[in-house]
Amino acid sequence: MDHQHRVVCARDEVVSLDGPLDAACADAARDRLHRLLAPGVRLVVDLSGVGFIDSAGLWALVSAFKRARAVTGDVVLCGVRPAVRAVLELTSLDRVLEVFADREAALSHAAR
Amino acid sequence: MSDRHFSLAGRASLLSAREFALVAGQVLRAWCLPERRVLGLELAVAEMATNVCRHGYVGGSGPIRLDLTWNDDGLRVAVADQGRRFDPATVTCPPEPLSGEPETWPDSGLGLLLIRAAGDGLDYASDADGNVLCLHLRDPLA
Repeated sequence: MDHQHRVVCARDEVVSLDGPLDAACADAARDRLHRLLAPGVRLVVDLSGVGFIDSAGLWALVSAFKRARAVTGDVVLCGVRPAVRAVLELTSLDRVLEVFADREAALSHAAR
Repeated sequence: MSDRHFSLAGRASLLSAREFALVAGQVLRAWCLPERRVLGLELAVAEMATNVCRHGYVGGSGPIRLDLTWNDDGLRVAVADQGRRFDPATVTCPPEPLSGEPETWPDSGLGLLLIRAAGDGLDYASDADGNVLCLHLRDPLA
C-alpha cells in the first residue's frame, strides 16, 4: 500500500486540527473530518497545531482516509510537527497518508 | 548511579491519560533521557493509561498508578489498575509496518504497537490486587 493509489479530486477542502490529538478528543476530530468528506474532495488536514498524537488520533486520520476512499475522495496531511511525524513514521502511516510540508505545498500540489 | 523512583496515583480517565503522560515526560526529561526516548515513553504512558480507562474500567473510571523506576537493571515504566483483566498477549495488532489495504486493518492494537516500540520488553501481571502493565528499557540513555 503506498501513495500510488492517489485519486484525482475535483476540489480541496482544508481543515486545521489543534491541540493534542488523543483519546480524549479523537472521536470529535474524526467526526469533524468525516463531515467534510464528499465525492471528489481532497481533504487537506493541517496538523501544524497538533503537538501530540496517540493511537486514537491516528485512527481518526485512518478512519477519514478509509471513508474518503469509499467515496472517491482523498485525505492528505500538512504541517506535521516532528513529534507527530515520528509517530507517523513509527507506524508507517506516512506511507499511507501523503504528507506535505505546509498548507501552501499541499494546495499547490497537482491533485486535480 | 543511585536508584531513582517516581510514583503518581490518580483516577483513570481519557483526560487524565494525557496528564499522566505529560508528568512522565517531565520526570524523564529531568532524568536526562534523550528527547527521542522521552517522546516515545510519553506516548507509551498515554496509551497504557488510555487502555486502563477503555479496557480496565470499560470506559469508566477507577484508581490508576504510574511508577517509573530506574536502577542497574534499566528503566521500568509500570501502570497499575484495579479494573478488568486486560492481557496484551490476546490483542490482535495491525501488521508492522502497516501494510495492505486499510480496510483490512484491525480496529485495535495500534496503541500496543506504540507501547512496545518505546521499550525492549512488555509484561503483564494480574492478581487479586489488580493488574500491572510494565515496559522495560535496558539502556534508557541510548
